Amino acid sequence: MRIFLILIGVIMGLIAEDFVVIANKNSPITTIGKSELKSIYLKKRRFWNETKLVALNLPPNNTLRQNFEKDILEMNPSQLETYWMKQHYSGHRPPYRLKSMKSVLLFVKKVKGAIGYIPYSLASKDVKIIYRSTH
Amino acid sequence: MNRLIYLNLFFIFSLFSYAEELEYKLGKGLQVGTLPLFIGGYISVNYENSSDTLKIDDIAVLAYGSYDRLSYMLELETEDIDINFNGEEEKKEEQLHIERIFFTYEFDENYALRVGKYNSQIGFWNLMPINVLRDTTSSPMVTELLFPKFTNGLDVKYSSENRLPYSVHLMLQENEDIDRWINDDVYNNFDIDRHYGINVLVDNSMLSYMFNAGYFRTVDQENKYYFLGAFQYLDSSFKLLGELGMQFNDDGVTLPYIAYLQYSKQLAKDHEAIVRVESYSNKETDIDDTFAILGYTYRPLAPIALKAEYQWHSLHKEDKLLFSISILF
Repeated sequence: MRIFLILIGVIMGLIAEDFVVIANKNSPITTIGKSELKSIYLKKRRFWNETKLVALNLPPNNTLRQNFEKDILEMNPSQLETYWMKQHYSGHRPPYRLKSMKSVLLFVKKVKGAIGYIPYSLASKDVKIIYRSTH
Repeated sequence: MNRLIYLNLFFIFSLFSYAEELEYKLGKGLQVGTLPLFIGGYISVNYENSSDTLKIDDIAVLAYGSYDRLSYMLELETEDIDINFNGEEEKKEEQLHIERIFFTYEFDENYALRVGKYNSQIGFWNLMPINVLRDTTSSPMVTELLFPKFTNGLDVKYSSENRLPYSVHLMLQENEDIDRWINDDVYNNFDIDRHYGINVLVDNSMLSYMFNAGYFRTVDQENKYYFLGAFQYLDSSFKLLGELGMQFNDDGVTLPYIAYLQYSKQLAKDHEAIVRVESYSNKETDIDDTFAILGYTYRPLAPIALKAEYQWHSLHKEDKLLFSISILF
């Protein structure tokens, strides 16, 4: 039974889909690096030129969010909690949270400064892909 | 009375959030409806063996929010209350103080302007000064003796997000403490009416470092000048932090050196050990001291900190044991 569960885990890991980071079609961002993404999702960077950025998150238990935080932010949940606690004292809030990937897609389509991550398979022509994860 | 009001407020908004199934998490504050208004606060109770007193160090309420490019922050705090261990409370006038009040306008990715009373952008420790967020119950002497903790006026910020992200802050004050708006007190470590300072911070993910230089004038017309260099190295399991400064006035050097170096290590989940060494020479008071601090922090939850520390001083009468419990709401 244990071997079976390990195998399932390995297979799930292998088929884990790459995520892409998307932005509005009119966003000034064309491509973005990992460190810039990290800076945006930690709210250290809140503008891109003159456009105010709106970073979007999925719920905390979402696997894609967990992958994103591990890959891009390189922080575990406990480190992130401490970080946002300090930001609370400084008057900054964590990224805006949406319930589903579909909501992220719709939000990004409508808001110029919005940035979100979704699975590659959900990306459409209505949004711009600015970063693609490489597992 | 103010303390009771605050405690009730915390209690009420905590209960309210659960009752309404709003999303409230300890240490993250609570949004008021859909308004750009978040409310939070913090409390700290400290015990020091040398004076055998229990000190209610901080009871504060935070209110902040942002709308488009404009954001604001209000932080009100009550005065410290000392309680002797024989149960007698030292009588102090219970006054509200304005710890911070400011508006920030961000023009674009490079420029921002802040107006009001804010934590002076000097050193790393001074930016996270409340007990629950800092590493030890005590704060390094550098934050008390070298520069004004708060600036009342303008902060002009330039930041660059290039390969090596950096920011420059200009702090400008040409007036008295904003706390005088609501009472006759000054809520700062120096009673000043002028402060001009510059801060350059290089924030390179794991390693950050900064340089500060500034001038301030006390209300009794003494001019003081300071320099400070600071660095912070963050690893997944440990943190290294150091600050080194000096200060002088028109007659000569007042603090030839003041410094600390701190190492903190995550021992296990929720448990942290801290070692700090501090040294300073104060020509104004003719006090030189070098001391080591060994601290231990347990966080049953991230926003709740139980801390203990012992200080060994070269001035032995300053040796002390400190305990504290602090909570961020």
